[in-house]
This record gives sequence, C-alpha cells and structure tokens, in this order.
Amino acid sequence: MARELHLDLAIIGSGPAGLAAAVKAKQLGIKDVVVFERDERPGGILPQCIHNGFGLHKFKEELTGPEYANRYIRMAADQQVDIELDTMVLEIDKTRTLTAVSEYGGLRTYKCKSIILAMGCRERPRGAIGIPGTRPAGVFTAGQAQRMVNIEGYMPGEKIVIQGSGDVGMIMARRLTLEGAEISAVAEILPYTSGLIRNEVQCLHDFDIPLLLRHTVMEIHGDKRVEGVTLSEVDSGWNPIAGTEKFIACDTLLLSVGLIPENELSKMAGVVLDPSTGGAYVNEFLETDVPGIFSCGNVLHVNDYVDEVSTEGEIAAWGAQHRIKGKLFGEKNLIAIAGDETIGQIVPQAINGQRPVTFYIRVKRPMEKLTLRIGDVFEKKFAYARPGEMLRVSLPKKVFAEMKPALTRLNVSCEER
Amino acid sequence: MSNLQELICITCPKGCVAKVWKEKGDIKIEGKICKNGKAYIKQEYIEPKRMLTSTVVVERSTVKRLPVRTREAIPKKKLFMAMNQLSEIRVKPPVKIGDVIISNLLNTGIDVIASDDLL
Amino acid sequence: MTAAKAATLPQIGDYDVIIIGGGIIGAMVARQLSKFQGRFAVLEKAAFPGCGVSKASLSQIHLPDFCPPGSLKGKLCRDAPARFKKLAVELEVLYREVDELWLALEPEQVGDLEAARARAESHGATGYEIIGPQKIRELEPHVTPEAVAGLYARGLGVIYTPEWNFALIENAVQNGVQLYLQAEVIDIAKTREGIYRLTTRQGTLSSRYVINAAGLYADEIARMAGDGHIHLSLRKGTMLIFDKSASHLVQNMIFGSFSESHSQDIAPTAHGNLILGVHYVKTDKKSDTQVSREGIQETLKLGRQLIPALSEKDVITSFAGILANSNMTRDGDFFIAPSEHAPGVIHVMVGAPGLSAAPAIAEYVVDLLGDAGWRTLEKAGFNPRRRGWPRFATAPPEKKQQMIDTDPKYGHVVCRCEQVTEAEILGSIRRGARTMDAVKHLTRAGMGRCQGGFCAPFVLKHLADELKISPTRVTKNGPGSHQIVKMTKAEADI
Repeated sequence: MARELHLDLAIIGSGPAGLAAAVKAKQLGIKDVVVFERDERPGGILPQCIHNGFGLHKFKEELTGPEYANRYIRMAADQQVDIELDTMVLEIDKTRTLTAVSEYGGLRTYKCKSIILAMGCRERPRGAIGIPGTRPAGVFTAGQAQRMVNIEGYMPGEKIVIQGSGDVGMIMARRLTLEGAEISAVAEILPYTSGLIRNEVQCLHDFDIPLLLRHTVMEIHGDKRVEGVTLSEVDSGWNPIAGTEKFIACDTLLLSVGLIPENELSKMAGVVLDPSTGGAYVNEFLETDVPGIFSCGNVLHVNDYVDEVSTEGEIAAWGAQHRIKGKLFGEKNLIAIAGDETIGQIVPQAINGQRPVTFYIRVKRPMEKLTLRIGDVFEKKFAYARPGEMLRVSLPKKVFAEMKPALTRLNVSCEER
Repeated sequence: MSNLQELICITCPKGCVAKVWKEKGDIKIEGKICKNGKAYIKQEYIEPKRMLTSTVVVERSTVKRLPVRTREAIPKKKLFMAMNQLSEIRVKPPVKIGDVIISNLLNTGIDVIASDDLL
Repeated sequence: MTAAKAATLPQIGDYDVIIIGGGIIGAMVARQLSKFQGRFAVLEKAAFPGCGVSKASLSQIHLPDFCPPGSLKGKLCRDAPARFKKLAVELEVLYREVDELWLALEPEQVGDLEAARARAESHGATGYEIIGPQKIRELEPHVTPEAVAGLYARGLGVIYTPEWNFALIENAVQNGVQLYLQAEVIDIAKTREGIYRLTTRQGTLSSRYVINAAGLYADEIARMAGDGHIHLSLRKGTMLIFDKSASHLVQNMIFGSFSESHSQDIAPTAHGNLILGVHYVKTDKKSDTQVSREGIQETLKLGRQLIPALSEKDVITSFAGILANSNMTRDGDFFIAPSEHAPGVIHVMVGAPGLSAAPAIAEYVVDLLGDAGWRTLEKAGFNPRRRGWPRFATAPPEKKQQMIDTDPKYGHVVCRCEQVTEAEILGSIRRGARTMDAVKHLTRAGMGRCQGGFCAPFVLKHLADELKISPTRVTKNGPGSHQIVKMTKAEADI
C-alpha cells in the first residue's frame, strides 16, 4: 500500500517559481517542505534556456537560464530544501492530499497543510491549432527543439521555418542559425512581433532572417519528413488572403504559437481557472479558491521576466506560511477585480484590501500614452503598453484606507489620452 | 554625412530608432534617444558586439551538453568563428559554474566560461 | 525495383498461406490461421503493422444496423461485440463497452431509424428500441435539444485499433506465424506447379495460397495476380480528437445522419477522449491523408449539430483516414472471394464496418481456403492467450505499487499527460516497437494534450539506446522519417 506522509508544504515544480517559494518557505520557518520535480534535474525550464537576459532585477546581473537556476538551487541547498527529482505528482485533491510516484520512492501519499502549484506551462502543439496538411516527421514546438539542441545535442533540421515571433521562436531562430541551420523565415500572424525588440534585432536582423508579419502556415507538405510549408498572408481577422500563398522548401517547422499554463493537477483539486489567463483565480496571497492551495509563476499566468516568477513564488510561500499559522482571511470581504474590454488579463482577481498589493496586468491591444485606472482610488500614466509586456502596478495600503467600506468590486481600465 | 545607418536601440523595450553617422571623425546621433541608448547606439555603430551563449560536448557523463557563454560581448563578426572553436571542445566532469573553458577567445581578451555546474 | 534487381533477391521463405497486409484484417486472419497446422507468413509493407487504413479507424465495434439486408457485411458483423469481448480476454487488450444512440434531428429522419432497426433485425440482431427525447436526455444530457427520437441499442464497444493490431500479430507470431516488415510485394508470379512466387523488398517467398488483405493497395495486388478489373474507390474522412476534459459530453456512441459526404459519429475512445468523424471527400490518392481547413471546420460543424457544447479549443489533434470500397459488389458490401484468374488467391476488400466484422471475416477466409482445397487441421498447442501489458495510468493504487515492486521503472513516469512509465516504453520497444509512432500507438506516450512536447526527446533516447543506434537513425514511422538530422557540434555519429 502507498505510504502516507505529512507535509507542511508541498511545492509542485522546481523551476524559478517553485525554488524561490521553497527558499522563502524555509526562511520563513516552515519546517516540512518538499519540492516535487518530474525531470531528472532541478530548474524547470531554465536549464535549456542557455541564453542570457535573466536576473536583472533579482541579482542585478544578466544571467543565463542555467546560471539563474543555479543561484536558487544553491540557496535551496543552503536551506536544506528537499527536492524529489524524477518524481511525478499524479494527483492532488481539495483536501490537499497529494500522490506522487518515483522509481526509487515508489508510490506515496502526502497529507499537506499547504500546496504551492508551480508547474509552469506546456506549449500549444500543432494539433491544437489544426494546421492542415500531411503529418511528416520534422514538426516540433520551439521549446521542444530548444531542449533537443541544448540538453541532448540533437539538431532538429537544416532548413527551418518558424511560426511565431514570440521570444522563444526568435531565440531558437538565432540558436539554430549559430549551430549551422538556415532559417528560411519566421512567420508571425500578428502585425507586430510578440516578443522583445531586443530579440528582433539580435536574433533576426543580426542574421538577416526574414520576418514575415501577418503570415501564417497554411499547410505542411512532405510524406515522411517535412518537405516544405505554404505560408499565406492574413487579414486582421486572421483569414488567409487569396493569392498570397508562398511555398517555402524546408525540412523542419518549429511552432512557437502559445504557452498554456499546465493546470491539470489544479483542476483535479477543484481549483477554478480564469479563462483569460489559463491559470487560477487568486487573491493577493496567490491563494486559489481552494484553501491552502496557492499558485505562482507561469502556471498562474504566462510571465515575461523570470524575476517576477520568483517574486510570485516568494509571495505564495508567504501566503502558505500564513495559512499554516491560521492567519489567513476567509472568503468574506473579498473585493473582485474586474477589467474592462481594454484589459486582457489581471492577477490577482480578488483582494482583501488590507495590505499592499501588486497587480499584474496585460492590455488587450497595443496602446500609447495611456492612463491605467483602478476603481477611483488609483491611477497611473504609461507612455505605451503592449499585450506582450505585462504591467506591474503596486498599490500601497493607504490606497485601501480611502476606499468605501462596503466595496465589493474594483473596475480596472485603460484610456488613451 | 558618410556611412549613415539607422539603428534600433535595444537597451529598453521601447525600441527607439536613431540615425547614426560619422562626421569629421565624430559620431553623430539623431533621434529621440536617452543617455543609455546613446551609449549603446554609439558602440553598435563603431563595432557591434554580442554575448555568445552556446553549449559544448560533454564526455564521460550521462549529461550530453554543458552550457557556456562569453564573459562579455565579443565582436559580432566573430560569432561564427567562435562557434567553430566551441565545436571542437570536449569537457568532462567535474566543472564548476564560471570555470574558464576557453581563455582569450579568438584574441578578444574575453574568456568563455561554464554557465552551469557539471557534477 | 527492376526485374534484374528482383532476380538477385534471396528466397526467404516457403509457406502454405501468405497474408499480404498486416493491418487489422491481415492480423485477424493470421491469428485465426495460427490455430491450424501449416506454415504461415504476414507481409507488411511498413515499418510497423497497422499503419495504413487501420490506424485511422474510428475503432468502433458495431452491430449490423448499417448493413443492407442479405449483405455479407451484415452477416459478418452480427455478433461483433461478443466476439471482441472474448478476444479482449484472450489477448489482454482493452475493450470498452458502450451503448449506441442513433438520433433523428427532424421528424423525417425517424424513418431512417426504423430502417436501421429493420436492417439489424434482418441480420438477427435484436434489442433495438426507438426512444423519445426524455429518455435521450437521461442517457445523454449534452445531446442537442433538437433530437426528436433515437434508436437505442445496448452492448456495443470501442477499442484502440493499433493495440489490437499488435496484440493479434503478437499472438499469431507466438503461435508460429512469421512476420516480415518493410516487405512490400512488387510482383506475383505463378510457377508451373501452381505455387505463387511473391517478390518483395526483403526477398522472394513462395506459397500455395495468398490472402490479399492489402487494404488501400489491394487493387494493386489484385492486378499482380491477374485481376486487373478490380478497382477501389476512395473516400477521405476527417476525424477530430478532443481533450479528456470534454469527455463528460458524450457517454455512448452517438450517430446522426449519413450521406455520401458525411457521417456524424461521435463517441468516447477506449482511452477516455472523444473522437468525432467524419466529413468525407472523394479522393483518388491513396497517400492523401492531408487534413484540410475545410475538413476540420466541416467536421466540427457536423459534431456540434449533435453536441452543441463541442468546442474547437478542446481539439487536441485532427487526422484523416481513407476508406476504400471495391467495384466488385453493390452498396459497398464486402468483397471477400477467391480470385477469378488466380486460384488460391483470396481477395479481402472491405470498407466499413470492416473492423467490427474482422473476427468473422477471419473465419470466413479460412472457410474459403478450405473450399480452395486447403486442409484445415487443428494445431495442438495453439495458445490463444497473449500477455498484455499493464497500463500504469489506469491501475488502482495497490496495483500501481505492485507494478513498481516488480519493476521500479513503473515508478518513472515519462509521458506526463497520459501517465506512461519508462517500463511501458521500454517494454514496447523490447516487444517490437521500432519507431516513435509504434511506441506512441502501443503505450500512448505522446497522445495526450501536449502531443509529445515533453516526452518525445525521452522516447527518442530510449529507442536509440535500446535499438543501439544513433539518435539520428530513430524515425517517426520508418525510412525517410528521421526525427533529427545530426548531432550538434559535429559530434561523431555512432
């Protein structure tokens, strides 16, 4: 029979969110903390992100992914955090009972006082966007290719087309070019790249890689292995424009078409998800609507900077400590946060209004010279905002002192001046 | 105005565009650009430099590749030569993060260092 | 291949019966034959059996309500569920019981339901009842409110065809049948003694009897045997698989209307997803398994007429399959008959419901062999049982722990989405899977919502390690479909 154990805190995932949460949890004095990691090494997605650009806020340096992970892995070791590698969490439920399995530990169940969800994201696969055509070998997601090249040393192809100009897509364009491949084109369905300008310059312009905006792959060709793709220009409704089809011969198609927070375990425990983020509804402690279950990092909402992900891990640990000590507020007095049609996503989605809060907001479309308003208690001006760059807005406690006592809802909106 | 280039500044996400050229030995920059931006644009005009991050082959381990990087940015024009150098390297455990893998890469004065521990 | 090259290939076998085609029909015939004395072989053109028509099957086990009265197909799928249930126990392979609900969305369609019942009853299948909207909603709460009546039958089933294909072949091989992979037949000649000599890509074989179960290529085999008048007409159908989070929408096999251009069919899969098909288009290309945008959209539209809550965002993958019917029968009936010009060659050309009828087809083929002069003598020592493989994902907790105790690699979950363990992946490779697709179809690794995004590199590595080949030689489904082109850094390729 499975052995039953007890934990103060179970953290699922040893990426930048999970590790930061574990380190903070130990610093806050939580005793029995275990991090569950399905991969053979800690760090989550970071070990395969060998490019730099991580840690500018947390460490005031520009580190590579492995270097950033290494900082937290060392801190975790210093704090004697227990990380169970090669361990898959099979199930969690609303009583916070967690079932995990590994080769050496077998099947075991833990009764947890608190659980922090830090599982990150999966990539949207070809099947989910229904690209027509044949099903040859040579179609990969960008993150899959990144793992193959950087961890395993496999070269996925020699002549490559990439769909999606998000950061992962652009970074892989550069990486594969440096390893000797030819990137025939990066196609982007939007009229602008969804990643950072810096990557557009250093990944695409530097190598003269054609960037085709408002283009998408219409069909994949090739019987056994990819032989080419047909791209087409699209209109603002993403409909293909007849007559703009171009065939590009290639042996590989990389897809960088979206990250989906990996919330299957969360759903098992009854955690309710916000369709706009794909992650849980949370309050300012990052606690979900299941008491004692917290969510942070990319599984809560896709982040732009790893430093933010780690900060969220710390907040979740702080929340878990409060929950363990019985100091958290209940469902009463929650103020719902509601964005209007200018807002794409906002986290947290509910607050108690008794402590400082940081909101993470994505606008729905690019805007310039905008004023962000939260209820009538807070307002901030920005020169510009893009959906690809999350806005962070911190509200000090005194803001809430000025709020009406019976307030149950705060509306959030952006207005261009 | 000789050698006019239009460059995008990448020091912050704004991506301001500036015109750069050389006039009587001086670098001239025109465009709405801040102080940090000007420094980047100037360097980019004189000699574009890039950080190189890559991997090297690992032997005698179940781990196959070790991530490495240049300690600082190297001239952009040397990137592919640097990749060729790296493809010849073989490392084996143990390696500590920060260990020098190649000293003074291609005479740039910049080392290539390990970007992770290899235990 | 030129005649000169063919002449240089070695003679690799001499058999009593050779089955051309290792798909579900060929596999079923092979297993049936292996109960008798004799030397038997299966020639499969691909790297792994069941990669042609069989792989794109809806995997549903029907009763004869689709079959015209007096048809051979009706006769042969009459007790399909009972036969499959028995085989499921013998082969230790998954069979899931479901009921059938055929809906009429308009009063005029009720006549179709009556006709279906009459067809089934003409073949001896009873137990059909016509039910009203209230009972429909009790059985299937998510069905469209437009449904005015339903034809309800109990005790049908769903399987996963690739698993069965493999299990049947494995059991046949266990019982002495020889399997040749990548053995496409390119010529059939008859010797003066009346023996057939088959030239394949692996070498030549001889046999007195030949079963043509070559699926989409059965017409080409027929032509080689001298029956050039046999043609296949092809239809391509699109199918969509939905995420398990949508599984609650449908409990049973639900049908709508059927025509030349579509069938509305939505059902649970054996593993708990939903499968929706099928929007048909005529095609003349056997390799045309391309999914088109229109195909996906039309299929979804057809599905939503039955289950309005179906959503595009729950689709995890789409694929197309080709259905072939011969010109030798009317109403798309099965064509299972000895060759006109080549005595000893038996053609098996079946469209839908070929899968359901497969066990009975195998018996029928053996009968035809008897008619053609072959003496069927039962083989002592035939073992009907094949050891299945336990699936970690669906085992109860005590069983999971037992599995880990016997092999710790059951504790290492590799495919997160479908909870497939390293033990299962290694097991499939050791039992014959040589390609990424074979491992996928046997273990389900890579069939979940991330479609192999996480586990594919691990499966690749296991294949390379177990088969002792370079990772660059691991293929998706046979020669030409390599996964990676080389190792980075000019690392020496082993």
